[in-house]
Amino acid sequence: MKCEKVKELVLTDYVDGQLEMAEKARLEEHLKTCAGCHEFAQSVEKELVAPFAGLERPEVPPVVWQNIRTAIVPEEEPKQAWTAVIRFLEYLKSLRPALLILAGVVFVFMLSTLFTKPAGTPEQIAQPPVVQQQLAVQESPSSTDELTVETYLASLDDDYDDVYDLAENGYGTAIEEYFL
Amino acid sequence: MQEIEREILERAAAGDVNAFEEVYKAYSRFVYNVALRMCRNNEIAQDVTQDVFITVYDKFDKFRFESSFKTWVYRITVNTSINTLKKGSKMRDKSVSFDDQYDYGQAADSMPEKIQREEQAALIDRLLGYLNTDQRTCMVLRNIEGLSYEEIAEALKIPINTVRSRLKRAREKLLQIRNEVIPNEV
Repeated sequence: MKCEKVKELVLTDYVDGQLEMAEKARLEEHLKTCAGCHEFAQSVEKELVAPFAGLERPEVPPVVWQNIRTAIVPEEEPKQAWTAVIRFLEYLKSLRPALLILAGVVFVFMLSTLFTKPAGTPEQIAQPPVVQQQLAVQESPSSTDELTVETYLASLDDDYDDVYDLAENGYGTAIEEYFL
Repeated sequence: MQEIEREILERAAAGDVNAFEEVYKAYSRFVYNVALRMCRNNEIAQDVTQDVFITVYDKFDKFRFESSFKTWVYRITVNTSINTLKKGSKMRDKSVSFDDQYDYGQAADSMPEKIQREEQAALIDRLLGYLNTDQRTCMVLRNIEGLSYEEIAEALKIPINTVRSRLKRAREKLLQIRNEVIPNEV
């Protein structure tokens, strides 16, 4: 193994533990016999490997998760609402046989309503109730209307008599009695 | 990082926020740390993490379960981080000293341990800052998140040999910087 290749491997695969056993053994054999490569390997170990070994990896400050949660929770609600709709549809899907039976019952009921014969004469059936009532009013003589007019006129006379009586007899107050 | 159960993914895809929170718990640390190393700013890394998970939530119904969900998250994370990096100006405006950005220390840790951890994190940040976006992406995915060459290739949609060559160039550059620049700075 040439020194150039050894140094390249020392800088990469050897220090990173990526070499296969056989190749590693060959390289270490070379390091035993070559002082320059041995010194180079020691330098790499001291200056590049050791400083990184045991380097502390700080914990993430708790505020980071709080900020992330604040950012994602508003988006959580529509997602959950959408999930709820999907679950409801799936629930309905599971009830499919029961819904089919219910639809059948409703259909039969509607058919029976359509074909049932309604009560009453053919004329009554043909005319809606409101129209029938109006016809009945038109056909009968309006004796009640005449009575109503007479009653009204009589009530006017009664009112006039009341006013006349008041003017003649007074209201019965103390000041009125004084002048009269 | 383990693959999350398919049943949880399906519930999350259907809009279940509790299931989505499980997904978040499983992948958020990866997303945040990749964004942090890529963008080198805590505030921007938080923004990227938020963007990644909102994208995942919005596009969940398009995920067909034919590929790995993990790879899908890797890809969205890397793309979102790179897009954020490209914006650039935002990053310059918010530029903050790496040491001041987050508290690595836990109550039980002693001060020397805390200082050591912060120094290590600052060193890694400085080293990654010397790399271009492609090289940095490969280094973060491989050296910090421990992805295999194959996983990186899938996430970035590039051949495995391209992953290998990017890592090689990145490490050559870092080795040179470590030997020349870093000793003089420290």
